[in-house]
Amino acid sequence: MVFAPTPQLTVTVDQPNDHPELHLHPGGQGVWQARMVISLGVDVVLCAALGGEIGQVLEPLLVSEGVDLKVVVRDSGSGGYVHDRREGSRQEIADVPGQPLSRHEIDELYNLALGEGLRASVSILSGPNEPWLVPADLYRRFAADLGANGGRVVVDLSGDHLGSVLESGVFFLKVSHEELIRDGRARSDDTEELTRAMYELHAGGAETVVVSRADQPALALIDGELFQVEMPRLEAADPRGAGDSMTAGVAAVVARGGDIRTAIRTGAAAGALNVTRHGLGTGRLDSITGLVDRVRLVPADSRQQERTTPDELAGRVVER
Amino acid sequence: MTVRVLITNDDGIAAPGIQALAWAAQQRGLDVVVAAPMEEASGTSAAMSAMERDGRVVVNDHPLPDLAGVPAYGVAGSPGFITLIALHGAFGPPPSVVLSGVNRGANAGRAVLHSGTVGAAFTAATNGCRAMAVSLDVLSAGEATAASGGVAVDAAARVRDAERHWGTAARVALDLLPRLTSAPMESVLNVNTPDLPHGQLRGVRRGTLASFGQVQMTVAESGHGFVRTSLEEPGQAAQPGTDVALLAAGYASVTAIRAVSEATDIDLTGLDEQP
Repeated sequence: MVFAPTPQLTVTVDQPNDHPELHLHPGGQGVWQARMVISLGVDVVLCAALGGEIGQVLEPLLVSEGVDLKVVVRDSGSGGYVHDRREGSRQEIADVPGQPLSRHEIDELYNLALGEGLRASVSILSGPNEPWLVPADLYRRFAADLGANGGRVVVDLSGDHLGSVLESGVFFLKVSHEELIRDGRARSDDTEELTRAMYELHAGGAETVVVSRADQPALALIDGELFQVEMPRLEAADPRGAGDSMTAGVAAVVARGGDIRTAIRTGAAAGALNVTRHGLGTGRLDSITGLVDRVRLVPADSRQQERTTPDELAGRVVER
Repeated sequence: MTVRVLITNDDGIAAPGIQALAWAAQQRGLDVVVAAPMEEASGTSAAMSAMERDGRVVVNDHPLPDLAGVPAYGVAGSPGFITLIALHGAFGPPPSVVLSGVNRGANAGRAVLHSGTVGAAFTAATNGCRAMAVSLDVLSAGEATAASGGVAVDAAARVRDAERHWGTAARVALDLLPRLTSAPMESVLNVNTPDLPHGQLRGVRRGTLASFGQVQMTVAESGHGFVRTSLEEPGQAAQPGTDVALLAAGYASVTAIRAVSEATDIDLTGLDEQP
């Protein structure tokens, strides 16, 4: 189950040759994640709230992605953006974030998605495109209800939404080093500092943690051990979206009963291939499979090894 | 008949040391099964603790890289607990040998009483199975040795796990396997190896138990996860001939030890004459 509270309509103007082209796609983190899960051969139920004209356009577009779409109809309109890529790089023309989900919409979407999530072995709780569109506490409730019933919760969140979901615990967390620094969980992009933050996230409720780093190998904390995710370098065409591929790859492999190491290697391979082409959430199953074997998890722990004496241990007792 | 070996540890199923030991055992043609704590359990001695869900011990399949065909399990329990249930058929036919390690950090001297790595081996021996505890002295990396008083510890502590010489410890251990299988059942071989390439070892020697020695433990710092600590008595010049001294001098050390055994040299006569 992919929980995508606020899918967006993405409109992109492109001009690969003489004539301009107009591309209409559904977008947003949950949609990109769902697309990648499907490309890895796993069925997706997508739970979303849609409304207004944009929502009407989004509905058939989402269905054509191949997801089993479950919709809550909103009173206010869905959001979207218009990008111009004719000059090569993306230029934003307009960004319409949409309205926050109303109390009623939240309740309805929660009930719908919880019902679907309880039937799924893995649930991805994707974030809203703007943090203020969906209250963070919803994620805490969601993770608690799914986790208590044997569901595995996979997230790529930051800020308050991450803090909330950790209170209930998650099976897998992907977060970028920029987000860790922005949230004050890490003071710098120093490996040691990121490692410390990862152990804290682990202690705080994330069973497995992957931290992506812009141009350095990602770090993975698996069963309390730190690994560096090493993979062949591919020339990146669009650096966005590699994180969604990691999250989706992990969810897809775990949903099929795979182990977490294979899941992370698959996610990394999916991410590497995704960035070699335009269009978020694409990547073909066979080419990903070919790359998984070349992704290695290298033990990377270099935590400080302290030395202590029995006297020192005794001295650490808090004064009574 | 192929020797069936249980590989376990106290650093956890994902630790690099257990991977190296399992790989080396498989290379020697042994029938290998791996079962280890899901997460670090250093300093748990032979504790019997486990977590159950719905009345069943939590056990996950945990395939190890480059070890296709070797059954491997992450278990929500202490190393001693895992060893005990393995001897009772929890992970297939009971093993005839238990190899515990390769531990991250030396387990030397009498302090091995507290070691989870050694605790698993003691549990095996107490239950009629031959066992060896295998540890890598991570503080001996490079020029830093136990004898240097930790002068170079900072440098050593920054060595990444991938660069440590787990394979050296695994190779030393498996070379000692014939001596283990011909030893009395209740004995445990405790093996410690400096963090060096195998070619740079000065040799493998029998060490005596240092009076305290060194054991690995973890301290949970609230909000900061776990801190690995090497627990040792300070200011002791390494006593010559001990396991600690051998490690400091660049030798792998092996000591034959025995867990709970009766002391017959204590005067307890005449008790049956009392009311």
